[in-house]
Amino acid sequence: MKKAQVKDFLREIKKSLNRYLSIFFISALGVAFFAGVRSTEPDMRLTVDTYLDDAHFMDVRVISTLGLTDEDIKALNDIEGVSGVQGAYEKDLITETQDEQMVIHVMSIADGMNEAYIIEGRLPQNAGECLADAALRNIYGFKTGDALTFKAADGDKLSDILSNDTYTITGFAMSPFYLTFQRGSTTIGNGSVSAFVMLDSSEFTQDYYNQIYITSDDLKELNCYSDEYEDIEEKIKDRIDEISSERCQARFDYFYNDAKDTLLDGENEYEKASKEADEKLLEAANEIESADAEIADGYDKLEDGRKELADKEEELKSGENELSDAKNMLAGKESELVSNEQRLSAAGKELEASYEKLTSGQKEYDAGVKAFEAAKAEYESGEAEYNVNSEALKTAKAELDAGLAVINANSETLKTAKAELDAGLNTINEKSRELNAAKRTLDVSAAMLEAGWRLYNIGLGSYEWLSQAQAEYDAGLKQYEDGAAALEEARAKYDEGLKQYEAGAAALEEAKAEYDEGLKQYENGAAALDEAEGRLDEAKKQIDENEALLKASENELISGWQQYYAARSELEGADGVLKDARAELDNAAKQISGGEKELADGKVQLEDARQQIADGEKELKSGEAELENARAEYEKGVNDAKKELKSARQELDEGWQELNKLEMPKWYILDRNTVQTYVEYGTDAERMGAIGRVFPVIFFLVAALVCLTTMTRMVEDERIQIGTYKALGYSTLAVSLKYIFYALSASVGGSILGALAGGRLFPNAIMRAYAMLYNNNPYMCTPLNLKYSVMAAVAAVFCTTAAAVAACYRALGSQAAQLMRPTAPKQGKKILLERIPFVWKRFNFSQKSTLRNLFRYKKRLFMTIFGIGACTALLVVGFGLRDAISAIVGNQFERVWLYEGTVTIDAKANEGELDKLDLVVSESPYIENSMRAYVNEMEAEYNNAVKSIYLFVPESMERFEDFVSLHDRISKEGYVLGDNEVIISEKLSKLLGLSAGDVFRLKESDTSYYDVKVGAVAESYVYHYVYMSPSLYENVFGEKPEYGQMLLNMTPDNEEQRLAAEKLLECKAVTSVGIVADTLNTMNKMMSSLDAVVWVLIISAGLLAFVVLYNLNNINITERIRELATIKVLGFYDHEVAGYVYRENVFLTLIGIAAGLIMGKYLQAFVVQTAEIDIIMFGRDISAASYALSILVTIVFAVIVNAVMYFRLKKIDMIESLKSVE
Amino acid sequence: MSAYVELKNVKKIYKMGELLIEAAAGIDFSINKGEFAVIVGPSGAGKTTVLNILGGMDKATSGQVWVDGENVADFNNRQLTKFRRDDIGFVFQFYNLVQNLTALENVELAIQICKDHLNAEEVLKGVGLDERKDNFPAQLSGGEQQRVSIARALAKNPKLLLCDEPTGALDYQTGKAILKLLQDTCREKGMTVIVITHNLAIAPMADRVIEIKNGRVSRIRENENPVSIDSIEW
Repeated sequence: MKKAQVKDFLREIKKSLNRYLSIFFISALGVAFFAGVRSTEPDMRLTVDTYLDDAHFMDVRVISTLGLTDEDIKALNDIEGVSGVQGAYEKDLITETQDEQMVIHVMSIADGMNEAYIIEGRLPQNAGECLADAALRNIYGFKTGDALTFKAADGDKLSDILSNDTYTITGFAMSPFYLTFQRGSTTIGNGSVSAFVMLDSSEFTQDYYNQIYITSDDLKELNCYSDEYEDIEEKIKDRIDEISSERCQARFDYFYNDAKDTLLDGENEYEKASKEADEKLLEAANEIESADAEIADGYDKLEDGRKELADKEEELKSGENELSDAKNMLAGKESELVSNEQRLSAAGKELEASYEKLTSGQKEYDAGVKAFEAAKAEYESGEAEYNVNSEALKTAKAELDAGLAVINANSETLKTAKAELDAGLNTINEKSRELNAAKRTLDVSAAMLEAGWRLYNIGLGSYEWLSQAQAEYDAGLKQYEDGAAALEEARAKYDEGLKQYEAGAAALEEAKAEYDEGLKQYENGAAALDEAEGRLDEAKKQIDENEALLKASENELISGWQQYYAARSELEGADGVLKDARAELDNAAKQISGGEKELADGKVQLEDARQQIADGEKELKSGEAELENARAEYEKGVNDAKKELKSARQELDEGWQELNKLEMPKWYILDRNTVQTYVEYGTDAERMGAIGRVFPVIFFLVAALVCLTTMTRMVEDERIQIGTYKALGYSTLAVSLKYIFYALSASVGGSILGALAGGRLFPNAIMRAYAMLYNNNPYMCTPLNLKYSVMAAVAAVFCTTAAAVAACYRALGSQAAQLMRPTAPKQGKKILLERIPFVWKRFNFSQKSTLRNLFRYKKRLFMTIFGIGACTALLVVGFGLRDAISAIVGNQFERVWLYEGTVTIDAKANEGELDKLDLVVSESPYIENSMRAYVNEMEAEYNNAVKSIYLFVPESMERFEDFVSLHDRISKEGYVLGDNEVIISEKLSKLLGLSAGDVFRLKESDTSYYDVKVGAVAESYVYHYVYMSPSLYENVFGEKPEYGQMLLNMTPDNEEQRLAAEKLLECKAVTSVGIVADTLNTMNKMMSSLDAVVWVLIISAGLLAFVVLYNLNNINITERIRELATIKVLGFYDHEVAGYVYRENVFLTLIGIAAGLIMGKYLQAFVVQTAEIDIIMFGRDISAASYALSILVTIVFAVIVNAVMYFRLKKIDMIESLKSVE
Repeated sequence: MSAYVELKNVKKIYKMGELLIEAAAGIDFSINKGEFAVIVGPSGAGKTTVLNILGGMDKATSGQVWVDGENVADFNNRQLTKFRRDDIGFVFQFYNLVQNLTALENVELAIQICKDHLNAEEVLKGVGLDERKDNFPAQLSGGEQQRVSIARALAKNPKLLLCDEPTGALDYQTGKAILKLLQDTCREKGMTVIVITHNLAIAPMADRVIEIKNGRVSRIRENENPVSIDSIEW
């Protein structure tokens, strides 16, 4: 280039820095993404390869069915290509921590091979030390210095395996055997290995190796995932295979002979042992007999001693009695004495009291005498009064008596008069009656006479008779009338007498009342007198009494004084006697206490004697028990010996049989592909490669396209200048150089930056995400992968530069003159839509012009749609990938597994403990429902592909659907476990190619397997599951499943769930309790680190969107600057000018987004399926939010770009419109 | 009659780094309403600067620009845009038609933003393009394109028709026809037309000829009897 051209070139860059930088950055982005993501696969492989090389990881290992020996090692060492050979021991053992039992894979430390990567502490140096799995520290909380105690599985003896049973942890390490947190499965314990432990090989007591590890220096430099590596390794394996039969024969011979020798030795030993046993038994029998005799002797002696003791006891008892009598007597005397003393003192007191009483009595007596005298005088005066009164009364009495006599006489007279009167009355009444009767007869006679007369008048009757009768009647009537007059007279006389009588009676009555009154007065006087007489008598009596009393008390007083003096003298005498008695008593007490002491001594002696006897008895008893034991032992010894001899015989027989059956051993020559995690890492790397082949290509394509357009545009923009150069005589090449350099420098610079940054950044971020799973890989190698960097850079530079060259040559192909003329403006064209006037008419003017403009610039239309679409698509993939990953946990635990907790039941738990567990579950307020299930790891095989699965058998078919929902992922149609078919998880069906109706093989081990039929394929995201009904299980396995798990439906509150879990853990039958919410939390935390990858994608996509949109807009404006300036001159406001451009942009952005959503959906599905790992199925759906976010992010970028563009539009100079077309 | 357009001591100074370029060094002139004015001068004399300032596309550094009683020099950007939109019709040397729009649509593009506009089709008919109104610019000849351009300017019913070298890209005959169209428009519609050109030959057809040299008005001539363009030859 000429100097002027160089200047022109530099100024060009300066002038169009925007464009230059956009090419630079688009190249950088494209290359970074492409190189970065593409290199992730080789970087992952390199990482593992480096780790394994540094650890001197075995390339090939040999396993034999009969173990391997040092001779085998020697033989292997001689093989060509083999550089290192190490024998190794390994065994799965059980260790128990406080709350769980786990299986530990114990390995020997192979010298300089399979080296552990120590992250804490050191290698074991002394016996009893071990290097432990970092998982023990990270998950189970072990520390250096902690001890691990191992137990062999049932049927093995630990001492046959290790020389110690407890090992102290000296450090924690990772092993190249395990890259993930998985430690593989085992046949013991709960079926899966929890951790490994490495011991010095001297700790193993086995006499053969389990494995021989082989390394080859030929393989070291090769990447272990490469084909070359596999070829060479295959050759070494072939060579090993060649010597295997020879080595196997040798091993067989050795084993056969060895076994035979051992068996023969055994036979000898058996003989010897049998003899020896007989002898020993005989001896024992003798010994027992003599011991029996000895014991009988002892019993006799004991009897004598016992008798003697009884005698002594008797003696002691009588002594005791005597003493107690004496004591009693003493006590009696004592109490007597005391009472006497008391009595004496009481008598003294009494005496004093009587003295006092006597004195007061004397006083009283004197007073009494005085009172008596006074009373006597009073009496005498009373007596005199009485006598007067008595005389007066007597006179009154006599008067009364005389009155009475008169009354009585009058009364007699009256009585007689009355009687006369009464008799007179009677007579009157008689006469009156007689008269009445006579009247009645007269009346009758009158009536008859009347009648007779009447008859006579008529002529009947006689007149005589009638005249007689008439006369008689007239006489009667006269008589009657005389009687009646007499009566009337008598009656008047009577009434007169009666009147006289009544007057006499009244006078008598009056006299009587008078008398009664007098009598009453007299009686009162007599009573008063009597009373006075009584009173006098009384007084007299009292006086007499008082006189006697006084006499008596005088006598009493005199005798009292006499008594008092006598008592006093007596009391004095008694005091002296008592004192003597006290002295005597003291003496006696002393004697008794002496006797007591003697007795106590005797008792002690007796106790000793008794103890001696008891001891003797005990001794005898124990002797007897011993003898009994000895006898039992003897019996047992006999039995044992018999049994032992029998089993020894059996063993020997079996040994012989086995020896006869002994098969030729077989060597398995295995390579790294049998190390599970190694293979997994390889496949994961491959998957990353798959993503890398798709993702960055799209990205790169967009970037390249943008560079291409930009360069083409640039050349076209400068047609006139090119023409001018050409006209000036510059060669085509010279003219092109400017543009080629422009493109070259920008793209090369960008590529270098991209390769440097992206080549490290992307693999780093992605591997960090993978490290979540492969957490036991301490390495991370992200070298610059020249291959991909160069590939990407060359592609980027080529695209850009080729575009420049092509554009230049197209331009330069024309004549200079033609170049300097403006290109004929692109013809306006009617678009298809205009031919449909019905639609076209509905648009307003600006919409029409927008549409026409869109179709006018087809290249830009395509570019923009593609650019924006790709951006949206990448965003959809990014967000969708995040959805897919986070859906795993959510979907599994929300859609499929409906339970909130799991309980692992101790396989050793007895009935009682299980019942207790049921009780706790049913009583817990936080547990709503529970169901037991059988879950066991097995393998599923179909078409030679094998996957490890969990066989799940629910206890109850009714409750099953409350805990696990088996349904189709898309149609949501629920499935029910049938009695003939199993239901498998979706991913398993995909991996094995199984679908409903297929029959596959369930393998417990290589030798026990069962064929089952697939009934349905159910939605599932984590692990592979085969669901089977309990009845089918019984059919298939011929036994009931042992339900080792319990699923719980709990209340949603996490605190409550924890409380329930604590209660459950207190049960003996519970080994562990898992709360789904906690698992979810940890899983989500783990998953969130995968977000890193997703953010890388999202940010990259965003950047891409920005650059693409900016560039396209830039081109758009540059292309149309004249048009825009013109409409400005026409008087369009700034916002109207912007709208003129934006309308197109908005339209294109919307179409681009729509296209991007569709592209993204399919791209995401592809990426998700390639990125999945075996045991996990990613979610298949992209959430509406992800679509929305993708759209939003794209729009945000579009808005930002358009906002930046607004200022550019505003700055467009209207003067441009005056310029001629260039 | 007071001047319809009047420039008073208009100066325009561009700053190019440290260099000051005086594109207009104090221009004074005035044009009456309905006049056909021609501004002539050699390249670089400041014709275009005057046009830009008068058309509201650029601002004068100092001085006054009166158009129909308003001082455009005092306008802000928004007022200038409104001024361009409603009061100015612009005819470009290179027509500046939007390629993607038909002749009719190009006219519509201008009138859609303007309130007091004329019927697009009638204006097109007026410039003799009735037959070709649905053609795209690329399908039209230069003269036809310039007619569309004039129609676009006229349709806005502006106060002032500014024409920047309207014949510059056209051949002699066509150029003459265009000038005729402009002159007729001025005569018939009373439109004030200002034509900027370096071609002094057309001066006789103008009512007023303003000659500019080195950023100043060197001479103003009023033509008492302007001649028809048909009688002018150059």
